[in-house]
Amino acid sequence: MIGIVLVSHSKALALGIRELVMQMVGPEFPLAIAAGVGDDFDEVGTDAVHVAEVLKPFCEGDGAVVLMDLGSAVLSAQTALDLLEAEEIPDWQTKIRLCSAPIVEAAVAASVAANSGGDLDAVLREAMSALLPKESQVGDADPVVAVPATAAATGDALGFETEIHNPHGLHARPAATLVQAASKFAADVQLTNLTGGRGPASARSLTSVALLQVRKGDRVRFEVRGADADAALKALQALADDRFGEAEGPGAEPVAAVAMPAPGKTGVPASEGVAVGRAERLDAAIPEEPDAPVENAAKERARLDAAVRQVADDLKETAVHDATGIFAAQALVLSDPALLEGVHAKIAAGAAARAAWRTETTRLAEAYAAMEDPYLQARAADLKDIAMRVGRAMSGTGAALKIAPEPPAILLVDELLPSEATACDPDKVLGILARTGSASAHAAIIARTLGIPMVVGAARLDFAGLPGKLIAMDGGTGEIEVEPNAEVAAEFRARQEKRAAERAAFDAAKDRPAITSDGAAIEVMANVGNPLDAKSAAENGAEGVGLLRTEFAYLPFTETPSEDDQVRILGAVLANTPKGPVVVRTLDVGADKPLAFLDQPKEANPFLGVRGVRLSFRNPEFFAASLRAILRAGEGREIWVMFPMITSPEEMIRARGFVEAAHADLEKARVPHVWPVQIGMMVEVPAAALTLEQFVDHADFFSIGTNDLTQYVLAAERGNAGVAEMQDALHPAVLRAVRMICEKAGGRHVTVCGDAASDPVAASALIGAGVRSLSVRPNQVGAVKAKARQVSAAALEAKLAKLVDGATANDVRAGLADGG
Amino acid sequence: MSEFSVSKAVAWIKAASAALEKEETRLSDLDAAIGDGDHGANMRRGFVAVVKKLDAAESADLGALYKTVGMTLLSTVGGASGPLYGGFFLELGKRSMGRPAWDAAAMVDALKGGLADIQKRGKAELGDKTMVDALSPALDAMAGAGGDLAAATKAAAAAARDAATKTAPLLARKGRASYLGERSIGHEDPGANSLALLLETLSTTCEA
Repeated sequence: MIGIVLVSHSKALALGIRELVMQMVGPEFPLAIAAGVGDDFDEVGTDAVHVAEVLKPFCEGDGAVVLMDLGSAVLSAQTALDLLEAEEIPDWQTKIRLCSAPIVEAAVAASVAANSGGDLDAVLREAMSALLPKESQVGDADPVVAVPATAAATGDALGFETEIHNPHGLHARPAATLVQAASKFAADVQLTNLTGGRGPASARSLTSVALLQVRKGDRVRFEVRGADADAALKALQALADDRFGEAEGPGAEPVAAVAMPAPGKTGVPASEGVAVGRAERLDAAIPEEPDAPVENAAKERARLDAAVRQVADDLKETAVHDATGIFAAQALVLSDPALLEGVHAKIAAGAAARAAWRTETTRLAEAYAAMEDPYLQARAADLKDIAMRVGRAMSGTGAALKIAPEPPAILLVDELLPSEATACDPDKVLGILARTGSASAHAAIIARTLGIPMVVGAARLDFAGLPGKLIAMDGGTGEIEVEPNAEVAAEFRARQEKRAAERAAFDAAKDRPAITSDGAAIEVMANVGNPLDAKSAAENGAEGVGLLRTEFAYLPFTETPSEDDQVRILGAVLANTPKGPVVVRTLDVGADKPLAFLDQPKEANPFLGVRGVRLSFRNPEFFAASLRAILRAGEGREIWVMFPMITSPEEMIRARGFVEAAHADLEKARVPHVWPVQIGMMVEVPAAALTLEQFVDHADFFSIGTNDLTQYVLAAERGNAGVAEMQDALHPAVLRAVRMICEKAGGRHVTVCGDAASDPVAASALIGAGVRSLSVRPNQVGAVKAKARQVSAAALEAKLAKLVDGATANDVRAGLADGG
Repeated sequence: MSEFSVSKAVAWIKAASAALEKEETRLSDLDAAIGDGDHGANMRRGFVAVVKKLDAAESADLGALYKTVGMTLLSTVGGASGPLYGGFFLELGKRSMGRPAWDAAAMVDALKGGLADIQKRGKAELGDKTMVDALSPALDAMAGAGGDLAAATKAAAAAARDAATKTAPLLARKGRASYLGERSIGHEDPGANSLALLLETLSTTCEA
């Protein structure tokens, strides 16, 4: 059993604490006292030599947590460890932990944890959180107060008050946007939640901002002090007016963090596929990492710093392009002073870096989990994920984790973390059952990419009783059967086999071109937004990358990424892409998704504002650097450079000039890079579609972005739930535009890279409109190829010619289904 | 004088003990103003125990002698000065292991090691109103005073006393005194004073 050693100035105090502890755990509990000084230790003071003597038996036993009162008690305990080291007492580093928690509360909490069999870390953790019950009872520990204050700048404060209109208050994304903006200035920015009565807290700390729990309708006050306070104030005001970068309307409604199964179903479908197999707990499949022994505070601090740096770098490189910006937010957590200062303080007090990190992140995750706002609750998963990654990086075996149960199994987990999802070996992980989580969570997206069946929200099941049992699950419907009878199991196996057969057919044919029944070759490439996509594209037989979104190379950064950084990140993705051409699209964001390092003024209609190439033209230095990075990273590959949101031929000419200048610069500096490259454009603005012949002399190729083309043609905003039904690329107006583009392209290569191409039915409509090249989601390559092989291009063209006279998208669908 | 032998070291510790006993009240009064008022009593108790130990058994070299001093202070002083002075003498011992005597260079080297140990243990910087404020300038003075031990230690003692006086206007940042914040201003630091006493007795021992 783990013991407790009390180091106190006063023998009487220590004996009193012992009495309290004995009431809890009985007289047999291993509690030792090193208190007082002098012959009978009756005088007030501490004796380092005595402390060392008291600690020695614990080094031979199970170990002990050392609790100290103050001042010389701490110094004497630390000196005692030096004495143990000098005497070469074995194992003291792994068996003895100094603990900075308050001595009375911690003694009681730690003894109970130790008495119930907790290991050293568990006991330490209990001790470190011993003050929480008292804090909540007395109610004087507003979490914001506990956040270490950043050094307050002096001088008069500038400030303003505003009401928060964001549907979910300042939750992760708007909070991250605010923190990024505040961090750009030297001025100290403090935020107070006037309605909630919380704060002030530093607006540079994501944690502090989140802990203010600012909700919709709350009034907040910003106070800015310091050299560039004026500029900071202006920027913050603009940001507040812009709702912290969050689009207005119901479209901004995020999906509930915890999904509820539909009636009759056990869970919520999250990743397609059927699995039948034995269940195993996910944590049983993760190898345990023993804690490294504490050497000294400086080394522990260095260990922490290195791990944090490594994980921050990893995050920046693997940050996946998605609207939630989750990985960017995770990267911000890592630089959060409120979190790091707590860990640093514990390390300085003698804690092991891993233990200190674990304690602080657990505490913070619990604080998030306890919040009423479901979006803040969901941040607990991000924190746990970050905590796990950094913890693993500190264990010295690196952050790389491999989850590969043997024999292969269905894994049970409370909530799958993104880094765990990435670590799953699809050959060994048959399926994943999660008690909570959502289909739109990051982990689910990764599971889909890896092709691992997953069901979430299965809280009705008794997870504790599942390990070892046979489970049948369908990730496409959310069905879960525990210990299915032979008939049911056979039915699931039949589904599984049907899917597998389909998959096998796709796989067998994946490297063959897709030729229609009447001999037209359909090129099927993949859309790629991160390294995982790139790998998946190659595995699924994509004939190239029809759209490489480069946002992933910029989103994680709060400062402008250097050209070298960009080359590194783009290079990492390019290394995983399939053979064939790679169409690299330059930065495509607008004011709805501001980057921390670009000046993007607030706009009332970001989709009709400065976005895509328009934004690039406003930031010529950044634009030039990003083009140089693309050319450098693309060396040895066939690269096509593509510009989004081109509206007029002048823009295309100007953009081409930028590429040629980038080439000339690199040539002059003798930097290796790819040349020549194809230079082309997205066709998504109706003006460009209507006047396409004017672009033929300036663009080497065209790529139709059906998502944006649809929203502009139908005047129906993407992501706005109120007009979601109108957002259909099969609308006759959109298909007419596609046909027109194919006809007017003057022999230039035309691809469709929007979502519509990924749906086999819509893909056949596009073939009918004259498209011969499709760029689709990586895991849809096989399905789209299979569809293309079934159809006759000529028959579809004839059919489409009539269907575009229809009035609605449903008319088109019905017509396509009619007779295939 | 150019050599500081084991018997000189014993004489130094005894002189220090006597001086601390004589100054006990003053040190405790200084401590009472900004701390818990026990510095004088603690230091006296520690050094009385050290002298008893030294009288009981002869030390083979300076290393063994200072180790005895350090260990005894660790277990008898009681307050924060226990680990701080104890660690200081243990470090002197480590750096003097096997040495029958110090010359000026060895003395400076050992004392600098002692200063480093105090700073590491107490995490104090110059200006935090601690014993570091007396010891650090004293060692600079000693290192700059050449090879004559009497001259070097005299310079160190004077610098330490001067620096101890100058701790009065400082704001305490370490130990019990730091709880007082601004109210610690205006009082000399007791640790800087006991440190100055140690160096003054070192100087008189070298002159004798």
